Amino acid sequence: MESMNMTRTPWLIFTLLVLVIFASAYGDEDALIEGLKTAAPRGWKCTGDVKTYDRSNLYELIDGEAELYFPYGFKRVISLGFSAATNPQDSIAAEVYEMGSVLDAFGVYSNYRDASSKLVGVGTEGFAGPTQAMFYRDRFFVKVRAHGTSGPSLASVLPCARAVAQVLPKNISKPDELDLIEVSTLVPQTKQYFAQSVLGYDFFSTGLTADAYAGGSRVKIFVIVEITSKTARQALQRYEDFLKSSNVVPRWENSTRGKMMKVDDPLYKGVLVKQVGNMLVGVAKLPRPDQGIRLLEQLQARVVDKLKRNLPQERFNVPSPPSPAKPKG
Amino acid sequence: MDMNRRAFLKFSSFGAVMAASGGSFAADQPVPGAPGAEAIPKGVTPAYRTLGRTGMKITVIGVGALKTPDPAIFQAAFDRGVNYIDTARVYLNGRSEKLVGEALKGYRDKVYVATKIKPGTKDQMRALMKESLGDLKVDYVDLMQLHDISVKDGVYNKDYREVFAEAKKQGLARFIGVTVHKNEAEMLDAVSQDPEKLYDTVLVTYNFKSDPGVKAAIERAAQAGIGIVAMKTQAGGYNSKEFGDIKPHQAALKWVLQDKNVAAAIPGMDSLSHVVEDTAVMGMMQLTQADVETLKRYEVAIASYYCHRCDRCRETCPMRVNISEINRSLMYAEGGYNSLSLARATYRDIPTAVSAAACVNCAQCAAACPHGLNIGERMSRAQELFA
Repeated sequence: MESMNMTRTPWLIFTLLVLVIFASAYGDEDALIEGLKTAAPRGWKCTGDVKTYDRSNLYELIDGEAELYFPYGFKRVISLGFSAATNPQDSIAAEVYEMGSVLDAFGVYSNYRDASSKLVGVGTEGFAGPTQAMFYRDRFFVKVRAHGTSGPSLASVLPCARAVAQVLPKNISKPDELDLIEVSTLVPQTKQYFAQSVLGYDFFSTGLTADAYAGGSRVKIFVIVEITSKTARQALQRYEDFLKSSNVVPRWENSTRGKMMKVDDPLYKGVLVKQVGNMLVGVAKLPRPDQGIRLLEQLQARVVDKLKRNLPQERFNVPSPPSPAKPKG
Repeated sequence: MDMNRRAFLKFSSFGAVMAASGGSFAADQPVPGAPGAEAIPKGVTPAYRTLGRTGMKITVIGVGALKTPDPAIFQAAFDRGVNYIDTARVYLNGRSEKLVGEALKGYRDKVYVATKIKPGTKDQMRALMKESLGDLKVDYVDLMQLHDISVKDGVYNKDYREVFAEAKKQGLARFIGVTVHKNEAEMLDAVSQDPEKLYDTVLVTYNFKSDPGVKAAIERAAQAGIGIVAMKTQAGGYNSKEFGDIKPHQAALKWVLQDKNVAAAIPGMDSLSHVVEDTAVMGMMQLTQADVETLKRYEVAIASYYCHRCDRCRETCPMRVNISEINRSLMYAEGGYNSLSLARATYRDIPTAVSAAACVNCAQCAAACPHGLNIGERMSRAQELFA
């Protein structure tokens, strides 16, 4: 009997611990929803119509667009509405998307924002149009939109967006990974994070892109992130194979630090690319490949610097090696 | 540069497949002089159908623009003969229309452009239409659609009808239509029974898993002259690489295109491989017995690969391992979601005591699974992936 109690005690402690962890986790979720309900700015109130959608029913909220979110570690979205105290017909809808990480939240955000978006001071970064605002903060991406007959304007939407932001975690840091793609001629607000098919090529699984200027031309710079230098080499080899199958002959040339590949890409005109550790850095859409050499060197220097500081790889959504096992069926 | 792109198209393996098949679908022969005809690379045989009473001869494969990251991908599709592209004002907050606008440089006279705007007040919808044309950098679109209508009142809403009729009259849109994600049959009937025959087209969810009632409603609509375009043709679009040699995506497209009442399907094309795979269907549209088998196998594969979460296995597990949640994590890593971060985040929420690490390989779970899931293998895979 005594020995049974001895055996049970650690299990009881463990079970209690698990329960506490669960309670704390659910408590946080409830706290977020409760916080959002009270996040209305002056003159507005939450309608109480709060809904949560997960991966299985996201399409009910944003049918057609849902698949955009899944590669970015989508966990759930909390949707809620606010109505104007003076005119209940006017409403503001907020959607708070919980993504896998800060980088994932940025990735989704970067799909919506472009160089002409008007940035506003909300969240880590946000932008607004006449009747809507979008921003990201921590691992959350948020859309706030106005609806109604009298057309509530940005004057109403922005305070609402700020009120929502206040409820989210305090972390307002941008993802460190964005530093990888910083160059002197970068076009502001063009950095994007892709969780799959960078540049539309399946073999470039995860990475960052941005626009920059090279020799007077607007070009695209990119950093592809792979798990190891071996898989980075394999990705480059697959690119080379693709080019050869397209009847394009890649040229390898020496550059300041190692070899670089010069190609006339079927889709992206002149492309320069080289491997740096587990990453590939490159410049695309070059009218003349040589125009991009300086940019490539800048990118390489950035990546080398980051590698020295040991940027954690797990934060990138790098796919796993294929499973040898096959499911039944 | 053009030479390179065309060389790529000419020498791609799918190009060779299409050349070999030679466009066996007699009713869908290329239409000389139709948009896209000049851009057809050698070896590619685009097929066209008429989009109802609009009279537009569109390729049976169009581009769904939602997730496409770069105009170059659209242009690769145009170069393969595709002459129909479908975007929406809300896609990527207008960025999609901007990307399409960039892609149309040099292609506008070869490609039919369709977009959609969400219902709103009359002023809001008029403003959205102007924004769409601005971002697309066009004076008009070929098709302006009322986005996501699921109740009959949406079809007959006076304000919507006024704004859309006005857009057509003013030449902002050559034709107008509606898009339907759910309640498909009722919406198709609502449009086709409209005494004023206002809307010309319906973009509708349609795939090999659709209810037979949808097929019948499509037929009624087509007979009424409504142009039908199919979306969500992949029934979820799960990543099939884990299913061995099953390649269901082309078969799923072919299944939809067997219905002659459907003018085109618009699969999303967010990578070059999607462009190649989807456009290749134009050259080999006959649904073969092999395709039928593929779809059957695909259904079965999905059924067993994707845990139904009935938890019968857990009742037999001596360790009470949370098998269904572990399977869900694996699905995010290996299925169509293709998201390791989501998979890890999901798996992290599972207490260690009931995680895959607790599995003792007793196989009782597999015996209890009514769907034949190889649970032991799945648990091993989870340990390998998430350890």
